[in-house]
Amino acid sequence: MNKDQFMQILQNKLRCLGPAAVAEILADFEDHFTNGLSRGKTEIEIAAELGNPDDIAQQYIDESPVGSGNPATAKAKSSAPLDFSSREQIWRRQDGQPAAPAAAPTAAAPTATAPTHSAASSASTNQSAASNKPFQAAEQTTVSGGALAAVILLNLFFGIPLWISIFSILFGFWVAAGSIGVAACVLFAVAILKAGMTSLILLLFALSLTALSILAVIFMVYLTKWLIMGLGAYIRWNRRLVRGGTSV
Amino acid sequence: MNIQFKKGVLELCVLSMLTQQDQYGYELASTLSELIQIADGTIYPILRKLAADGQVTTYLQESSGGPPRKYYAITQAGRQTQHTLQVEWMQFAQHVNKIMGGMQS
Repeated sequence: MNKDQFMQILQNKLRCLGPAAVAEILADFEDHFTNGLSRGKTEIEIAAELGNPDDIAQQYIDESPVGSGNPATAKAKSSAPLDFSSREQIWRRQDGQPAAPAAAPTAAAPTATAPTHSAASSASTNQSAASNKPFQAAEQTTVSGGALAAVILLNLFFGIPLWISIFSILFGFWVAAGSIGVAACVLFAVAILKAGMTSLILLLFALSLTALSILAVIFMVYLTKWLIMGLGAYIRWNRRLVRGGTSV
Repeated sequence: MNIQFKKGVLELCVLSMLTQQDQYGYELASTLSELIQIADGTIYPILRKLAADGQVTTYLQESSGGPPRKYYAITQAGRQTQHTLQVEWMQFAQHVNKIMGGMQS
């Protein structure tokens, strides 16, 4: 990657921070390239040493003070990055262990994650996402048991019956497709056994039935694949609901 | 190494380097990346955040045969933060060392 490519990626990804901030940041990297070039490095070497521009842009976005409208977020922002104790909380959380429900880490964690979601969106939605997140996180920690119960109820009364019906219908379709195939075979047998003028018509009819059954089978294969994918997504969504409630 | 943790350590490193003398970005980046395995680009978001938090200030200074360089200088608040972080780091490292020592014996 050369300098222009590097700067282009950075610029595109940082757009949500506003033109003034982007210009400042790009100027810093411009200087870095100038300094590197004056030391005899190539643009490609310098870009490689700088690292992935997407990651760097993300780092800027994560640290930008967009959540300053919310006092809790703003407070967490100014204190957390320089505070080892709250960093330990983040650290522990990433290891998959539940963090202690202290006020600071609960507020600090969403500020670290929220801008990731809103990276592509505008600054205003960014702000709302950042300020909404702490409350969502707080809710999730308290209703984790409720989320599990809700998922179970949802599946018991809605999810499982729905999926059983869908797959029953699917099974019915398969039987129908199979019957068309069987009918075609029978017609072939009849046409071959019984030679004559009618057998030609029968043969043509059998051929068209065969084509129809092949089409039906192809259609069914796709439909089955889609439905299985849908079921997978549904199961993942359920798992996310439950896990999202317990691990935050 | 854990990114969040590394970032905190990098802040301490940058502030510590600036307590000795004012430096420009490229200097800081190359010194750090020689000692710690990091991408050079990681340092600029940290510098920007430190500047936004008032831990460091910046000024432009002419360089010999090139455009003026952006120098970073530590503020009084930055020195205090550096001191706090240093103490915290030392205590943290001491505990880790103790744990490792306990594991070995």
